[in-house]
Amino acid sequence: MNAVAVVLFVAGAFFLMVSSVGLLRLPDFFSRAHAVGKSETLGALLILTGVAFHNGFALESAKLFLIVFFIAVTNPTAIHTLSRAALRSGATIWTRKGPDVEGDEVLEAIPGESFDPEADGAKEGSTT
Amino acid sequence: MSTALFGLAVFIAVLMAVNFVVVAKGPTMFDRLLGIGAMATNAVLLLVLIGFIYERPDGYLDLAITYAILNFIGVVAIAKYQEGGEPEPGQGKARASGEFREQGGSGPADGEIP
Repeated sequence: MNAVAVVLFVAGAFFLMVSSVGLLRLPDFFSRAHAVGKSETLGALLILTGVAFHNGFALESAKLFLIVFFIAVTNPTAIHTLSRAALRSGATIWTRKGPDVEGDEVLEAIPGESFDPEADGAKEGSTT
Repeated sequence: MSTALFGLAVFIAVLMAVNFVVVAKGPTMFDRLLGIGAMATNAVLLLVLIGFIYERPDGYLDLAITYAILNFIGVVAIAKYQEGGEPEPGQGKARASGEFREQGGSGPADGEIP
């Protein structure tokens, strides 16, 4: 039982680390939401299941699986709502400008950093 | 075995610090809100682990359930409040935020204090 718990702990810690690195490093809001929405949920579920295996069969395991069910339902829902709000607020999707752009220049090259729909509309109107 | 739980709790605390860096420097409000949601999910895990480290998991599990519910309600409420811009295709232009932005001197997404 302890071996199963340790394996689940290591896997959950790995997925949580992937989520945090993706949140820190990815260039766009939508890619960051993609990193958090799936990897964070899976890491949380694995760690909570590992704690349940470590605890054994008791009342606390029922509460833990209640938390598992609630996080599995609500965490992707919350991030989907957040992404839809960002898209309707005028967030544009990051595209790579050129092959020689790297580092902070990519971060500066994100269109729609201010999430201002009127500014984006004016920019599109001016370009077209 | 409690040392494994303690090490995992320390690791999750470090990941919460990394998420707080994103919350502090995120370029937009939605990035900060995303980081806050990730921090709150990590906080739920940290509450569960603290409850099992100190061998008193009853109250801490209830706290974790409550904090998960409050995290979901808070993120969805702020997201729906900040949601504006284009209306849905079937609903015409009857969206609340669009009307609010057209009528009132400053919409909620403008970041200005009226």
